[in-house]
Amino acid sequence: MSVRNVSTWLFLLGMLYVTLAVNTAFGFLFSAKDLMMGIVILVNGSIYLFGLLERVEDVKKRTSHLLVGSFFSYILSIYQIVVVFSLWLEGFVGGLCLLSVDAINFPLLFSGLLVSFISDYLKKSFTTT
Amino acid sequence: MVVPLSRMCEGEKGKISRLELPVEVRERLCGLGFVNGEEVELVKIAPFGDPKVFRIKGTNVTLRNDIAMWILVETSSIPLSSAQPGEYLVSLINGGWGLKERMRQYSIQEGATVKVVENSIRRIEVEVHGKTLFLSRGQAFRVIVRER
Amino acid sequence: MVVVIGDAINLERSLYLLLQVLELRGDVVLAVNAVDEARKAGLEIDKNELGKQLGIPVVITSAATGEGIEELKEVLVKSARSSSHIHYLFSEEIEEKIEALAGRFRLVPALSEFDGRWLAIKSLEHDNGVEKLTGFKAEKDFSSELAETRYRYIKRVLSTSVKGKEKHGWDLSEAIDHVITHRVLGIFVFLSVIYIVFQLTFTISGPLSLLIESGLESLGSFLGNSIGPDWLRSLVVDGIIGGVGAILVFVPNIFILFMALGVLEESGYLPRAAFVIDRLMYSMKLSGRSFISMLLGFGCNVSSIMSTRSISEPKERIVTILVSPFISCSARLPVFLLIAGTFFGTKGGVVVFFLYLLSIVVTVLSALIINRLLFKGEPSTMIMELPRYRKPRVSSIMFYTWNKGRHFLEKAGTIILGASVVIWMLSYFPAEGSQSYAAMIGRALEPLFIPLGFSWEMISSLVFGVAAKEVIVSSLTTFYGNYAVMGSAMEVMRVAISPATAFSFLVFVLLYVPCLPTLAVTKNETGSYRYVFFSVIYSLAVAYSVALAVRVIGGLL
Repeated sequence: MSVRNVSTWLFLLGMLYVTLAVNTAFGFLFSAKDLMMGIVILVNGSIYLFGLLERVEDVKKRTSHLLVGSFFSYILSIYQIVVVFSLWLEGFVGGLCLLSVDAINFPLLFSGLLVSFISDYLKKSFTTT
Repeated sequence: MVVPLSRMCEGEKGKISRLELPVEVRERLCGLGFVNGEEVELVKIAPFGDPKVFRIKGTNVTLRNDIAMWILVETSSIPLSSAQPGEYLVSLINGGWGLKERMRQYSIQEGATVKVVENSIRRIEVEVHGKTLFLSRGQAFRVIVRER
Repeated sequence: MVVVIGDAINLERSLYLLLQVLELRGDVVLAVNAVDEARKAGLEIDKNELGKQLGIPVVITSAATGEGIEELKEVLVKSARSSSHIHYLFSEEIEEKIEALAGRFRLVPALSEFDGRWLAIKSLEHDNGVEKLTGFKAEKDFSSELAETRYRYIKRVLSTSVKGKEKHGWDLSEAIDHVITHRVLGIFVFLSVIYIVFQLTFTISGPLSLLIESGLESLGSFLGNSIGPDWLRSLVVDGIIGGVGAILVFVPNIFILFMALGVLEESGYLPRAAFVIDRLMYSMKLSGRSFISMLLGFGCNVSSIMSTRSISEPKERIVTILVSPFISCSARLPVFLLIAGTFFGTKGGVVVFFLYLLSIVVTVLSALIINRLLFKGEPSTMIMELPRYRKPRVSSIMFYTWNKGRHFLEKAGTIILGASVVIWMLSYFPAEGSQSYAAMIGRALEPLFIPLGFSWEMISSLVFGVAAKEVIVSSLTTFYGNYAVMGSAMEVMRVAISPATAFSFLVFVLLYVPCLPTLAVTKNETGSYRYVFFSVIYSLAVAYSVALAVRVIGGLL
């Protein structure tokens, strides 16, 4: 990936995750209100945004922010899937339905899964050099 | 110049010249590869400035400043303030964001070529990209250069 | 027979260790491990050449893929006790000195069980232990010359036996490190990871605990219907199934927590975490190593105290031993989960997170206070290697989880079973409920706890909890279960106790007297009852004052 591409991704994903953080912390859209989780997502967002503070010539450093950030996002959405699954299981055992659109937090879940492709792509580029 | 390991800057390399440590600590360090003449690089500084990660013999080892200050390394870098007239490459600028920004305006940044014209007691006259400028001793002390 | 396990990617340093072992004894086999990673990195290791140069059997293995393990076993069986393989690799001047010294040491009868050459080399290195042993001090310290010569020799050996390019530029490990140990981000990433780990254990184990609970319930009602005498039925159903069952419900929780910790350890994140927060540990005169011990304390304080053996500085060790019981162990988790779940519902995770934070804060402050109080020692030196990042393997995580979690099951089978029976007896005789012996104990202590607002049931369960903290859960359920006409013990508790009191109870449980096994290990490791008494009195004082503060603040809100 070229510097410009990396920087663009860092900016876009940083903005995306800051938005997601605000969304989760206050529970605006398709999300339950969860302040702590919001802070965790904000940390993820700042991993991207801090990448933009690296010097432009340091492609490797910028790329590593993108790599770790996207991996973190991926972990967050795996976490979300596990949470949703155990909510379903708990409801199943107790004979209730605990799932709702808000509990699933679709925006977080899907962005993490999409971002995982970037993480995968970057991992390959690192192991070959 | 010979500096303690703890005084190196992030990304700087040097050759170990002496270990002034008690035997038990030195033995452990020897086992990890800290012997005279070995090349060591400061890879990373922890969030609060201490400890630091050093790369030696291809692995990363963390040391606290209270040990690293007793390991002396020979670096090819010198501060600009003690540079004799001649051409140098800027290794790094050992200062905060403000100093770096000021130096950048003089187009003194990492990797740039600097020509020292005169090194007097009060100031250092340098030539960068054909422009002549004067740096104070304090500023020049924080600009680490190596010979070309 | 000694097997030296070397790292294929970093053979140079592994061979240094090997050379030191070879100075001590000759019957050594070198196993070059992690060869799969070395191949990936483009390294080729010629084991025959390596073996020929070193004069010992060399096996190439990979613990990850199982390659070469059989061969290693064969070699170990085959190679008989061989004579020593001495490498005369030092300069003539030093070899002469070594010979002279070794000859002298060989004549001393008291040193006959040691190898003369080894003693000579060690005393030239100014090794303190050997100097004490031989009573001889070399006039000059040769250790750096010796080390340099060893490394030169190793370079020569490796130049013919290992082929591959030296790596330049950034690899994956370095890229990850750049962000994970970032100046600003490092701490926040660390906190996020720990938060996710604890949330994860909370959510996954929820439904599993529910399953176990319903299973135990039906077992209880089945036995309740089939057992004749009243007292025996009460013993089995209320005492044993109620008590041990209350613990079994938390088995999923504890296993998942250890699984998550296992993933962090296997992947190589934990040393980075120690690196990132070392400065904080340093400010309380502890090191990253005591951090690792304390981290184990999240599993069990006993294992945490036992692991302090690796801390070389005695003062630091004692401080770590004294403060690590404040780390919230997994045994306290059931109590937190039960009470937080009962009183704070879905906010339970947050409450538990804050309790963990509190435990860390108290540990830090106590370390400072105890350091000030007992010692004014210099901190020990911390030298730590950061391993490469690895993809955690399922088998080793399972092994790790089972190893750590097993203790919990063992405790459930022994101490907690016994304690459940004792508690049941104390609460059943001479009459059930408020006339029982347990109630008497609780009432006797009640005046002391009026400021905290604890009921006698809570106080009695705290008394029993000294045996093992998990017991608090079973005794609370037994006591409150007695009142329950309809519904569960939790519902009775929710009515009887205010949330502020519940929270201060949680804080008290977190901080008060370490459990009996922990105290026993403290005695063993420090070798004196002084520290045990200190630990008990100090923790009681801290628990009481913090719990009081929490209750007062909670009452205001």
